[in-house]
Order: sequence, then C-alpha cells, then structure tokens
Amino acid sequence: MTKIERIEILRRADAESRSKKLLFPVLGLCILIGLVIFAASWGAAASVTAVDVLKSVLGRVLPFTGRDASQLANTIVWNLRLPRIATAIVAGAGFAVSGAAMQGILRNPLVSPFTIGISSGAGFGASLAIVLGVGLMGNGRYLIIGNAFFFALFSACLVYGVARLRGVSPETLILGGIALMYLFSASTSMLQYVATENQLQGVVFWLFGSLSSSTWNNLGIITIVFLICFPLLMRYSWDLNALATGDEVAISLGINADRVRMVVMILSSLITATIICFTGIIGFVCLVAPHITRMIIGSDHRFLIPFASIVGATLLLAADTVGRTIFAPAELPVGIVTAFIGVPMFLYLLITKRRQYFQ
Amino acid sequence: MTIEVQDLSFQYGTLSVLKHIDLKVEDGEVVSMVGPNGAGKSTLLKCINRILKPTRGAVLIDGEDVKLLNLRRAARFFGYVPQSALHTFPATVFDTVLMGRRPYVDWVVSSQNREIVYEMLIQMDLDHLALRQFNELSGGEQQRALIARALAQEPKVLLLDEPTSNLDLRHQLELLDHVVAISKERGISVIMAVHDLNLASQYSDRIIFLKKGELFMSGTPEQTLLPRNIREIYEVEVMVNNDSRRPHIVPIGIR
Repeated sequence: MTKIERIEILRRADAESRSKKLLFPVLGLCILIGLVIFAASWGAAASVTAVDVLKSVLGRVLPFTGRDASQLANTIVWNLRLPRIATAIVAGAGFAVSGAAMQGILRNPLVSPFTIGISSGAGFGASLAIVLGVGLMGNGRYLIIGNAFFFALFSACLVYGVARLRGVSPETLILGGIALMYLFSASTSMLQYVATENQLQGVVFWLFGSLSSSTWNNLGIITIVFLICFPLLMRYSWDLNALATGDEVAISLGINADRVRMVVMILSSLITATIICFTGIIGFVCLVAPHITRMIIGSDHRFLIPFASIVGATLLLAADTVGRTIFAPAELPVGIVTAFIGVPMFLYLLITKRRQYFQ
Repeated sequence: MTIEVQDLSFQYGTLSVLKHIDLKVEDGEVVSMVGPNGAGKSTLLKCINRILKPTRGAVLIDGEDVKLLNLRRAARFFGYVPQSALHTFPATVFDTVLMGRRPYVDWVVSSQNREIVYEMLIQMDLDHLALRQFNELSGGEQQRALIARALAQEPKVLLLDEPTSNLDLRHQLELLDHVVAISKERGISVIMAVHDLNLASQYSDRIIFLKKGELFMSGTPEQTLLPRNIREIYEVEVMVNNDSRRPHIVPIGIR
C-alpha cells in the first residue's frame, strides 16, 4: 500500500468516526424531547390532559392561533409543570457537566462535585437555617437558599485552600474533600439531633432533594449560571483529556495543569452549588450521568461534556416525572428515584459494554 | 537547532539531584543518558522540558532561554514521552496523537492539523490501529503512539524517558529503529534516558554518563563504554566486546 492510500483510508475512517459521534447527541435530544412531552401531559392533576397542555402552550406561545385552555390548566401547566420540567433539564445538565469535569480534573471516575464537600456543606448550611434560623443572607426560604449556597462554596474553597498548601494534586483535593464532607455531615447530624420534629422533617426533606418548589425565577438564576459556566468548561474540555494522562504530560503539551484544575473546579462548584441550593441534594446524577455518557460515546471530554448534559437532563427529568406521577398525588423524592432509574441503567451498560471504559 | 544546557542544577527541597550539568546537543543527534537509578536522568529530562524548574542554570534553544517561553511555545520545541503514563479515561490512538497538536490549536482542529496526525500515525506504523482504544494496544504499540503524539507537536527535540523499559527484545529494536530514522529524517535531536547499555551503544551518536547528579563523561559509544568507566559508575565488572559495529557489553559480576 502506498502512503497516499494509507492516508486516504485514515481520512475516511476519521471522518466516519466523527460523524458517528454526532449521531448520539441527536438521538439523545430526540429522547429528551419525547420525555418533555410526556412529562408535560402527565401529573397529579389528572384532569389536565395532553390536549389541555397543548392548548395552553399554543395559547401562550402563539396567541394568534386563538386557542386557549381553562384557567386551571393554564395555572398547572405554566406555574407547576413547565418550570419544574425546565428546572429538571437545566439541573440535570448542570450536574452531569460538573460531574464529568470534576472526574476529569481529579482523574478519578468515582468523584463528583460532592466529593469535595459541596453537598455536605450545602446540607449543613440549609440545616443551620432550618433549625437555628441563622444565616448570612436573606430571610425565610431565601435564608435556606443563601445559606446552602454559601456553605457549598465555602466548603469547596476550604478544600482548595488546604490542597494549595500541599500542591494541588488530585489526591489532596479528594482526601481534603472527604474529610470536610464528614465534618459537615456530623455537624448536620448534630443539628438534626437538637431539632424539633417539624424542623427535623424540614431538614430531611431538604436533604432528599426535590424539584417541587421550582419557579421561573429560580430557574432563571440556575440557567444564567449554567450558560456562563458551560462554554468556559467547553473551552477547557480538550485540556481535560491531557490532564487525564498526568500533569507531566499536560505540561509538556503546553497546558498549565494547576490553572486548568483550579478554573474547572471553580466552575463545576459554582454550577453545582447554584443548583443544589434551590433543589436540595440530588447527588447521583453528577456521578452516574458522566459514566453512562462515557460508555456510550467514549472519554473524549470535548464530546463527553456536551453529551453528558443531554444524558443528565434526560435522567433527572425521567426520574422526577416518575417520582411525581407513579404514586400521585403523593411524591417520591427525586433523589431516590434517580438512583432507582440510574443504577439499573448503569449496571446494564457496565455488563454489556465489552471494552473497558476506564481502568 | 542546537540545544544547550548551561550549568543546570536542581534540588528537591534540600536534596540536590542535579549539579552543574553542561550539555550541548546538535541537530539530529541521538544522545543517550545512562547511569544508575537515582542518578538524575529523568529529572534532567524534566528540567529541559520545563516540567520541573531548575534551581539554577538555563536551557537554551538556539540561544533563546527556554525559561522565557510560555508553556505553549515551549511545547512546540520539546516533545516528551514519560516513563509511565496514566490512562484513567482511555482515548483512541487517534485522539491520543491528536493531543500533540494542542500547542498549536485551541479548540477547533482544522483538517491541516488532522493531516499531520495521519502523517505521524503512518510514520509510527499505527494507521491500522488509529481507532482502537489506547489501552487495548500492546506495550510496544502504546509506546509508539506516545512517540507519535510527541512528534505531532512538531518538536525540535524529542525527550524520551526509558522508552524501551517495558518492551520485549524485538519491540525494543523496532522502537529505536523508528526513533533514529525520524531523528535523521527530520533533523530532530533526541535525548533519551536508557538503562540498557547495549541499546545505548547501538543506537546513539553520543552517550552521556550521569553519576549522582553530575555529568561524569560524554562521548561516542567507543569513547565512553570502557570497562573502567562502567566499574566507576555502576560498580560492576564488565567485558567490552568490540567485534561488532558498536561496543558490546557483557557483565561479569558485582565488584
């Protein structure tokens, strides 16, 4: 074979593999859209059917069609179902993206933003507000949100600060994070111990995580943070591939490993903290969505990060929809359902996927 | 393209690892660094490459101080292959080699850059494996892929840290054949840390001996691979057989 022929074969194989990688996201988006339609037309208020939802959406989005639904349908669709669906999508995408990025910088498939103490920090902050009514900003519900956000980021900064003292290696970040996680969990337990029954219920409910209090305003905040952080993470996505093969290799390829690690950690922490301060702790998506994505599309972060956002959104929306419909009008906390849906899916892929996707 | 190491020293804390190293490597020259474990071979490679910052001294490339280049510019001069690499999240061979274009490309990889990757894959005989996962390859193939990645950086200098240490006999020879061919073909200087003195003898233009962080001697294989030098450095008795093209070393025993 001549060299020209060999190059031609390579060129074709390369083009084919790239176009294949685009197929999955398209497929994923179709599934997500289908799920949205299903989730919008199903709910505790069974009288509001798919037809009502369609009418209500058309009435608002395209008023000139002259269609409109009843007052009740409009309220349920626009104040309950749609903000909740949209929040599930953005939150799921945000969790998955920050999980994928965090696993990349820490070179460890078992970590998530929660490993560095973000969730336990948030849990502690929220408990503090619920039980003792003390906090740093806001009042009422916003006291809980503000507190959770502050302590989530405080925990991330503390972990990073400790790691800085010893050189920011993945090992120090993980171990420091785990230590803080225990500290905050213990503090939360202590608060639960002294709480009244009502407060305790509030804490437990918050720690389970729920999308039931989604509003357009909260969604707006989450979305803005996500839309700012996501392109920045994408900018570093290729560097994450190099970082996965070791700092030395990354540096020899002209990448400032410490800076990439710091920036990516800040961005993922910010996304996660913003989401969980509104939703409570919905942890599992962070960990499992990147893995599911990796098994489907491989470990190249340039594709992994955007596709993980679709997988995460789908997973969280599916879990939330099941959680609020299966025993309607009672609700299962979304965190629990996520595990029930995500784990079998994860195990199925783990068993059926032939090649090792991480070592 | 000449690379010059001037009075380079390096310390880990108070432990002095390299002391006043002076070294000059010419265009297309293949230099092997030999010496016992802990002599500072890997450290010297990393200092040249800016992975470690020398405590004193400088590395000059065509008279330009490497310290003053940013990481990215430096990555266009030096291609580095570590002794062992992590592969937590494996990539395909193609993507592994493509990473070598990072010093030139921010995000969107143009077809021109892809062509360079094709070229390097073919150069290292990896084109039939391009879409396989890196960790599914044999040791020799993995090592070739890492060299292909370093070559995709279009470097002036190739730094190899014990490139043959995990390879069987045939793959050792095959790999070094490739390395020498590339060096001569593209005028790339090669500096490699090697343990096997016979491989160093067979493939190098020059051998430098490191001993306890100091440059003990430097010269052609014929000049350096003498029983008394090896006794001095390794404390091992050897016979040197000069029947073949290059000196061949046969160890006899510990002194």
